[in-house]
Amino acid sequence: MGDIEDEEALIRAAQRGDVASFNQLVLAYQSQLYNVAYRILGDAAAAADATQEAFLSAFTHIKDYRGGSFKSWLLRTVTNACLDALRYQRRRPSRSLEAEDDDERSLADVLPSGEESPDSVAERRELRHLIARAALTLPPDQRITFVLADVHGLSYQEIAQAMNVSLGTVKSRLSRARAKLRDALLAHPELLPDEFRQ
Amino acid sequence: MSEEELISAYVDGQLSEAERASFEARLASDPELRRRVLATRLLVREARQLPMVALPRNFILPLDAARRPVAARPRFPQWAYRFGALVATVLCIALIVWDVGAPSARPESATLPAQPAAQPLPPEAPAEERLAPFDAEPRALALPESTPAQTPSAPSASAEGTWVTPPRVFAFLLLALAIGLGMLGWGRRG
Repeated sequence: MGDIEDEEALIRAAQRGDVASFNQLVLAYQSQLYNVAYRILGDAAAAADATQEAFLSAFTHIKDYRGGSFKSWLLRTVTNACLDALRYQRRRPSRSLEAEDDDERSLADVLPSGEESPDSVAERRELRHLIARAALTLPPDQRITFVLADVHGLSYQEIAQAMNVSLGTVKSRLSRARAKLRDALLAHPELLPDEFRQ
Repeated sequence: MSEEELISAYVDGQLSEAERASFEARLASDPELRRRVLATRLLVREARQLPMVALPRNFILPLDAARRPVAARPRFPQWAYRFGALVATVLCIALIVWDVGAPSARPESATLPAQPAAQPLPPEAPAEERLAPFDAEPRALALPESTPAQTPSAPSASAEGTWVTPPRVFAFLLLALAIGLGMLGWGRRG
């Protein structure tokens, strides 16, 4: 993701209208952008639409890009597309993450399980599904912050750039999101490790 | 910094040395706080392990994307379109109600037969009062009597003329505007 040899040259070419160069950037970032959209929207079709819209918007406005982290700039376009989609979803509720569980499970099953017992693997999988579902109940701003920080591991600074907010706002939103999700986890002690069940 | 922000910053290793020492001292004596910190750590760890979802397709742009017209983003926020639609609807309804409910208040009523206007004033009214209101338009009173040939056709011409009146045309335009704004406000994405 994002490991392109000469990103700056591709960006400059794209700014001159070279679609082929822009498409190399698309190939480098599409997986991350789609996964961010998927975790924010909880719906594969909506995430695909938001991702496509984000890349189109990025190409249209790439002349406005003035340097800095290109990844953060792209993430801003996709989070804006997600916010648009969330407003649309609010009017027309669609399928939830539940509908996508099968795809996700098949990928989760491929992950190395190490020395965990099948029961433990199943519990952790349920726990992750609980986190993913609970995240969809967060307010959009907190949800986006949580997805960028804890699911995709972005730094506070990158998130602040992507969301065009201050570091303090990022920290505040993230702490509130975590508090709500943590309470959702604690409401299901059967899925938590032994130390939480006493 | 609130307690939740402290927990979050502690889990992320963002506290200063002094803040961390103080927080850990509290942790040692507060089992509930310790439980919340443990659960937050678990949350962050498991969230990071959420699987990447496979791409449903490539998102590369067609090579002629640079030449394609870009769909313009709406110029105003969604609430503005909704508010505009509501205002246009209210104005439209008000115009219709006014047009249907008070036809005599409109200038078109002057084209109706003028029998009521031709009624003589009560004889007890002073002569100045009888003449004064009609001084400005002396022909208006005389019209039904002086042009008897036009009188039979007046009602039908009036009926045709009142159907397409300026208020009704304006109400129709307002209705179209309300529908258009409503589609932008409720129908579009974002």
